[in-house]
Formats: sequence, C-alpha cells, structure tokens
Amino acid sequence: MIEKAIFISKIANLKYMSSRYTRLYFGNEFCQKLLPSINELEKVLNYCGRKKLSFSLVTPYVTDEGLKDVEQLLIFLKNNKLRLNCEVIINDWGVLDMLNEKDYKLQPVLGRLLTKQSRDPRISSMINRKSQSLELMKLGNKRTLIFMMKPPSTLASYYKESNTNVPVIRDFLLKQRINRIDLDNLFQGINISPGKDNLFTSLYVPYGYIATTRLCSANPFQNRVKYHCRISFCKKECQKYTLRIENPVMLKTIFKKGNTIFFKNTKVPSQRYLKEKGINRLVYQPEIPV
Amino acid sequence: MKLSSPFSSKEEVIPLIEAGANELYCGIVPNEYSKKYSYTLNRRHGYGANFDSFEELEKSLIIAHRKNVKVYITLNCFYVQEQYPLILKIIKKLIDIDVDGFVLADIGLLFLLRERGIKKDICMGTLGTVFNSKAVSFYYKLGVSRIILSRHLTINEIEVIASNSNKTELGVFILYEPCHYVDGFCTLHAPDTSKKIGQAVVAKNKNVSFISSHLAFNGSGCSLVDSPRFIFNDKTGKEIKINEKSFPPVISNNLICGACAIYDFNKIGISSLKIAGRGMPIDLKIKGTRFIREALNIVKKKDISKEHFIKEIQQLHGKIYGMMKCSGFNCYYPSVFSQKNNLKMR
Repeated sequence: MIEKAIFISKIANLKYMSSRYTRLYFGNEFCQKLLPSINELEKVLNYCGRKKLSFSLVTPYVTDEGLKDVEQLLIFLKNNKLRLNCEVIINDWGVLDMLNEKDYKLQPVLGRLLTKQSRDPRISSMINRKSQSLELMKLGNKRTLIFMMKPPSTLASYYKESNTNVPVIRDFLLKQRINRIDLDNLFQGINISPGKDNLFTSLYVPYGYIATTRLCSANPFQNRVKYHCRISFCKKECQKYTLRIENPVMLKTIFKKGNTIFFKNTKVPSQRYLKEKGINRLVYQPEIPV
Repeated sequence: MKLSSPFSSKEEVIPLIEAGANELYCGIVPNEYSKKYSYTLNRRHGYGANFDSFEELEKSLIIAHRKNVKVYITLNCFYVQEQYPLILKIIKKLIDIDVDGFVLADIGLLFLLRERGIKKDICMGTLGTVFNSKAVSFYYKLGVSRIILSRHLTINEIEVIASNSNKTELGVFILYEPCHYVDGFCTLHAPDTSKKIGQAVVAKNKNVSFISSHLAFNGSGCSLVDSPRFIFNDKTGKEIKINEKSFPPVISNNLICGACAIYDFNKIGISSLKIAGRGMPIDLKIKGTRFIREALNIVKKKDISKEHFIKEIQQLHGKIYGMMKCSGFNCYYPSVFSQKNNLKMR
C-alpha cells in the first residue's frame, strides 16, 4: 500500500487537501525565513487532528539563528496536545544533531537536500546518446570543439543512483534513528536498492529541486537593485512571483521560485514501478513548495 | 591562518610556495576512473584542472614536502556503491605516494576511510554544507579535522559558528570562483571538459580548443537557469514575457575577492583561507596567493584598525589587479561593509 502525502508550504494551500491524502507535509526546505510560525504550526496541527492526518514538519538548512527557530518548532511539536505521531524532515545535518541531542520523541526523515541525486534535467538526454559526434559549443565564453563520446553504461547507471543506496550510509542513517529517505522523481529514472533494512523511501512529485542559494534574486528583481543578490535583504517577494525559464540548452522547462530552481516531471511512476523500487510514500506538491 | 592554494602540475608547486602558500590542494582523475565514470571523482572541472598520473603527482608531493608544505587531494563528489572499490584503490595509491589528507564531501567515503583505519587529515569541503555550529559538531563526531564553511554565510554568522566550535579547525574561501548556488545543494552538472585533446582550426583564424567529453553542454549551468523568460504573478495568475537583462545576473565573477574580511577572520579565529582555482591559469593562482599572503602580513601588524587594514587591502588589490572596482558582484563577503560601519568598497 502506498501512502499518499501532500506537501504545502503555506496555510492557504490547505485548499488542495483531499481525502486521498493521509499525511500532511508542512514547512520549507530552502529558506529559514520561510519557516512557519508557532501560530501557523498550531493551526496546521489542529487541522491534522480534525482530519486524522499524520504530520511531517519540513525544515530547511539553517544558520545558528535559524536553528533557534527550528528548535522552538520542535519543542512545540513535542508538546503538542494532540499527541500526533510527528516526523521531522531534515535538510541540514545540524538540525539532525540537535534533534538527536535531546529527546524530542520526533521521527527524523532524511530530506531531499541530503539525499544526493543527479537532478540536472539535461542528464537524461545526454546519457541516452546512442552515437559519437563532433560538436562546436560555447563553454562559458570560449568556443570549443568537442568530441562527444558515447557515455559508458557505468555512467548512465551512476546518474540514476543516490548515495542513500550505499550500505554504510544506510547503516549510519538507521543509527541516527532515520527510518525514511525522500527522493526526487528524476527524468532519467531512479535506481533504488530496496534494502532489507527498515529504511523506507518517499518520492516527491511533480516538482524536483535542482539548486538552491542564499543569494536570493527574488528581491533585487522586484526592487531593481542591481547586482545585489545578497543574504540579508528580504521582503519575501518569492511569495508573489514564479519564473518560468525556457532554454533550448536546458531541454526541459524549469521554474525558479525565490532562491530555488525546480524541474517538473509530470510522469508519475506506476504503482508497480514504485513497489519494485521499494517506494511506499508519494509526496505530492500541488504548487512549488516555496 | 594557513593559506591553501590550488595547483594542477608539478611546475606550479614551487612558484605557489614562494608566493606564500603554506598548504596546497589538487585533484587527480586517473584514466582507469574517467573511462568508467568520466570526471565525477571531484569537482575540479575545467581544462587541465586534474592530474591524471600518479607519477606526476608523486613528484609534486616530493617537492612540496621538501618545503614542509602539506598537500591535500580533493575527493569531493558524492559517490554510489559501485564506485567505492575503485575509489578506495585510488586512495591506497595516494597514501602510498604520501599525500597528507583528503578534502571530502561524501559521508560514505568518510566512513570507509575510518573503517579502514586511514589516519590522514580529513577536511570536509564546502559540499558538506555547513551553515551552523551543530553541523560542525555533527562532522566533528565523525572524525573530521577541518571544515570549510559554506560560501553563503555572513561574517556575523561565521563568527557565531566559530564561537561555538572550538574543537574543529574552520576554513573559508577567500579568493576566486564563487558559486551562485550552494555548491553542496547544487545538482547542475558541470561539464566534463577536462580532457583536452589539442587545438583545432574550425574556420580561418578561428582557433578553438579541442576536447573529448562524455557530458558537455552549451554554456554553463548557472547562467542558463538564471535567464528567465516568463514571470508568473501568483496572485493575478498572469504570465508575462520579460527582458532577460532586467533580471540580476548570477554571482559568477571568477576574480571574486574576500580579502577585506581577513581582519574579521583573524579575530574570529578562522584557521585557514582557501583560494579557489580549478583550471585557472597559473599566473592568476600565483598573483592571488601573493595578494592573500601580503594581506595576512598586514593583518599581523600591531594595533592595525579594521578601517586601516581595509584601506591597505584595497590599495594592494588595485596594485595587483588593476582598476577592477569592488562591487557587490565581485565581493565574497559584502557583509564586511555593513550599514553599521562607514567602510566602503573601493
């Protein structure tokens, strides 16, 4: 049986909730300034209590200041009156260290920033190249003649894998009390070794993240501040706009929201495929989760 | 503070040491590896950025060790299970030729090195994505002796990390080659363009480099994803086409500099400064090493104020790099010039 979860990053998106989902992911993976407030968390927890939903708090990579905010959310979650069985999605090893230092009674899950996959949308066409060719390309500012070799099969297999297939990493994650890993649905397909251990896999659909930055360009865009993609300057303009990037070299449409770029893979794998790969949870993102 | 410079041939070792480097780092991708996995062994992409022969690397190590300079090898990619046997074979050869340590990104490789009782220095590179003191503590418990902090931190944030992390050596990037995206969280593929075959004439007077590659793409990843064509207003539901030039460009100036922050790093207790430079020309590596060494000498001057230090650094930068003006676009740590002080970029 595949569990269906929905991932929202703001309360207004509870509108996407339907009876097919039995778990709610709430929070943010990419920016500590977008962490929910205690008040928002309480509202969402109450909602989960009413609808009998399981709950997962999504946390981003954070500075020490952000760690304090995450800590407040964890304390609130630990003491929630509904005694929901809560997960915390970890995207920063420091958050995991903090979670394991104290007895929060919360289940850590390894988020997709820490499950290493080759997410560049161009890879799928490159590894499927059937023949050799000679191409003139512009690399950076230099024109270069390239003898494009057919990629070896070992390389194609490499790009479908994740480091979470590595037994020594899986053992470590289990020792850290992590019982689940979150992966993106790559265009080139994914190879998962469904281990004989108790480490389960979730798959995020349809959006996959490609790259993220703290040099956020959402604010200078809106405020026309040239060359100032910097850390501290934020008016949460990311909440107003989404950028769509069509680039012939990129081959797929990509999206930029705030500080992060995403691909969209609408091809949801079949139940059979998921079962074969040992994936027992689908995390559906109705909107880009920023 | 140690100064760590990149090199990619034995001829570069002495000039870099003479310019002031007291640590060196480099990459090696043996043919046995590149045939199977291309250039996925480290993040040193670009022409001639890596050694491909252990013999050449060994000669470099002998030269560096004679000058009491340690040499670290970058193995800073993330790997999958089937790669480990070959990587461990490469590591064995590297230990046999007496490398001093490794710059890693992958915790799987870190565990395997520890399991095998390998006692070399282990440095967690920026791909380890350390943004806070708990992440430092996480890696310290795994046996990491030095951590290179993310490029995407302000001086204040670095200070907080350092004040809570007294057991681990902390390093920062100080010069060249920024990454607009957090490098440990960036999955944009850097093309494997390291294997240069030669020069080719493609048209009259058009001499271009000729390389072989398994995966190469037109342009570079960051610029491709930062040229949006359409903007969608989430509230109105309307999408409009926009002029690419109206969007701020990515931070990609290869000559980016953070030398003005050395004054703060010295006070904070940062133990090493790293110059980037995968595939960069040797003259720029030497120039950069000399510049940062000189900056380290200036910061040692008794009772020098931050204002005076920055003034001297900016003059020195002008002398070495010419008229390139400082801007938010080519400064690693613009938080040095906060609104709270009166310091200004050159």
